[in-house]
Amino acid sequence: MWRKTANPVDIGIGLLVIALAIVLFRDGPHVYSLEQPSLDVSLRYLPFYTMASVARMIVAMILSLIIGLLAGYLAAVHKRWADLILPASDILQSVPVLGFFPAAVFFFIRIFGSGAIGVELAAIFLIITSALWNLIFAVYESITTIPEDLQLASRQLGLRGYIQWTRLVLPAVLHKLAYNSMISWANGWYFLIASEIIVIGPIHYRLPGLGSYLAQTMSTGNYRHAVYGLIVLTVVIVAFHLVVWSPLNHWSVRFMVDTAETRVAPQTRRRSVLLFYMTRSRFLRAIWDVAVRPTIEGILWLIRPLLERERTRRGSVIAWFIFAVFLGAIAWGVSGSIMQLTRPAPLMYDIPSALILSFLRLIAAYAIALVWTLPAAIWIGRNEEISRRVLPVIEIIASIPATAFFPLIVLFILRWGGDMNLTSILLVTTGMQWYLLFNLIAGVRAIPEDLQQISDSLGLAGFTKWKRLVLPGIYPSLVTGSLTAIGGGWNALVLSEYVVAEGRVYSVHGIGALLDYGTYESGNLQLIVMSITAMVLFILIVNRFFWQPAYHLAQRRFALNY
Amino acid sequence: MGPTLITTLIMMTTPVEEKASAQELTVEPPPLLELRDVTKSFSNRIHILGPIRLTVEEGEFVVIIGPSGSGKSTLLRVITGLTDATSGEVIYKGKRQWGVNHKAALVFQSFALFPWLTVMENVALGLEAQGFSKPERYARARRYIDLVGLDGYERAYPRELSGGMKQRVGLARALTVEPELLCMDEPFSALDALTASNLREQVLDIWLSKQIVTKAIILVTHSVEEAVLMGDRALVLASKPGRILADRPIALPRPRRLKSPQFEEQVDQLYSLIV
Repeated sequence: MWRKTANPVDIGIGLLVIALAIVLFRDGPHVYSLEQPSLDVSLRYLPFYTMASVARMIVAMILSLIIGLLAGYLAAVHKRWADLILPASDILQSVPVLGFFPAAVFFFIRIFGSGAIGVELAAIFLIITSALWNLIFAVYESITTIPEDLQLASRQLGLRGYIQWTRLVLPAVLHKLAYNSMISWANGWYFLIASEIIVIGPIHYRLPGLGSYLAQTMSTGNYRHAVYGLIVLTVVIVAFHLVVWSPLNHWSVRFMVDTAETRVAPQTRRRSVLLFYMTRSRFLRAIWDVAVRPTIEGILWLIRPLLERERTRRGSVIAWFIFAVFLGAIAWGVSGSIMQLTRPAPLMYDIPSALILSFLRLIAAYAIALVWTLPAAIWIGRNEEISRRVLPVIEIIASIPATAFFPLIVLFILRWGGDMNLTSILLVTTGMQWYLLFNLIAGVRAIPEDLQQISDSLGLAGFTKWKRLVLPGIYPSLVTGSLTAIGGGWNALVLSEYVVAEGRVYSVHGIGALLDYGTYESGNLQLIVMSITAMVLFILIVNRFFWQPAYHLAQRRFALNY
Repeated sequence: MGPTLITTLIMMTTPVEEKASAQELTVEPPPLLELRDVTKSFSNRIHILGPIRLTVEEGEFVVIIGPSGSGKSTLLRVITGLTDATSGEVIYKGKRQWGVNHKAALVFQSFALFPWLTVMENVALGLEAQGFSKPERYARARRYIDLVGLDGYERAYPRELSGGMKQRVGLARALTVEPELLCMDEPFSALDALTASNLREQVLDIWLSKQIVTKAIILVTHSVEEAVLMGDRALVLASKPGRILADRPIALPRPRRLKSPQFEEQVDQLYSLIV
């Protein structure tokens, strides 16, 4: 339809582009510099910093989506890709952002130079490492759970290439991908501060942005400007939530393949005015035609050989090339690591005790998170009315990165007599609680209505009801939520055990703090490699001997699809 | 980019079609479909089908009846090329069939509709895959939407439809690609009795009044009454492994009456074969 009247969304986008251009050309030349030892924190430049950070986040998000779709799709359609991609993603998602610092510095800055491009790419790479992995799993799970008949129907109708993607693959993954993109976006902001300041000992880059602005104002005790920064950050997060994530998630409900979950669909399928205009926006349509569609077609053309059932020469060449690069990277990493691991490093004997202390903190944080999220999830999940009112607010709160407030929290707790150990446990909790809460809410909702009713009619109440209905019902979500929460916790440790506030370092003995020390203060590559290796090994062992059995039990005994 | 790339993509992705097998010249035209000793096993151990020999001529309405586990659905997937036979050959119009047969269409028990597409988009999807322009495919899809009695629901989503209407969408989607061979996999099993009976009559009506170009229909069912009501010929499958137990013509005049003595007799005959 060609509408004569102007579309508010198009007008809004136009105004936004003009405003951004003004900020970019007015302030860019003044403050965009990597050499300056500190940022100009005057309020005048805050819009530019905000813009720079948002731009980095958006680029990182788009790249994460492309990589996530490709990797998830390859893993879903080909067993041999799954065997490579899934374990690799699993390991990489348990490596905290700081673990990617050496790669960011040695690869991106060595290759592209320490000019703007190299450092920006390094920062974007670091944001991607905190946003990518759950997207891969979301795509993989969505595609492997497409009903078999639907796949057969699309083969029978002859869907291929771009049409297959826009009619089958993208719609099928959209619901989970939209939800996980929201999580990745929040995750990216959570680690933004660690991504905009790239420091390994003497190597020191500070990108102008909201993250570095907050870090600098907080660490120098410039609270007036820190508060300005926090306000802007919150406004940006809330605006994105209202304009992008909330409509996207509402819209994506219609793309759910029919399952038990869809019974919540009618309530959530509200008419959104914004959505109405967005689907009719000429500008967004043009973006799709000019950028998105050619990108999809181009990528499909490139990966086409990887998907062939019969081996073609082009396919084998590309597959072997990727394999060789991957192998080379591993060999490079491993040989480098072995070199680092075989030489004694200062503080290396602290690693085992640090690991155990951090693990104990993690368990304490997990317990705190569970104690409040479990009752909250049951309260919210059982009541449609409450969840409609409370959930949007909680989603917004959850997407505000707690890391930006860390220095304030530390000073506050220490002033009121708490110690740093307690503080870092609470900080780690901020990186775990939302995973638990949202998974548990989904779990409570997934308990079928008829099971609820039969329990009531049988007179189950109190502890019996918990034991027979609620806990078994939410057990699968509890396992998934706990697994992701603990994963998030390991990542949050590096920001929670070592906080700079008012020009002072507040830290506790732990693996996160050790990694911070190795990265920021001593620039000791050996210590970084050793800490990461120890941490990943520890996580893998815990996963193998605790979470995997728990997960299998969830699938075998407590799955609700009988 | 744009059209040229899409064309290249489509050309690249078109499966190797019909490698003509060396056939001696025959005077008679070849049958529409022929299965030569087709078998199907999974992972070498579980032998579920065959060997099956079967010929379907143009103009036939063939019904395949069998208990669950007799491999009826698998047989239909082998015929449409969605699954490869483990051994044996599928011959379509005298040529060995490789890969998916796009001259055939399949109607699913579970409807297999795309929940994110409207009725119109679902029905036109096969034509979209074939590269028809939007006006062309919508015009043709509208014809079949009208034929199955769904006019007025073009913009509805499958979730908003009843089971009977969903299956009408599935039927229209299959008919829109104007298949020579229409395969139906227990299309009425997921519907309530009244809806199923209505839709059966409608399918028969469309088929008998020659409103479609389709040359033969193969219907899979576990209901003997349905077979006797609809088919020209009934194939009875035995289970474990699925094989053809009997191949009987159903020579009752149409329209057939459910309670008539001849109908009952035919039903009893087929029942005696199965039990």
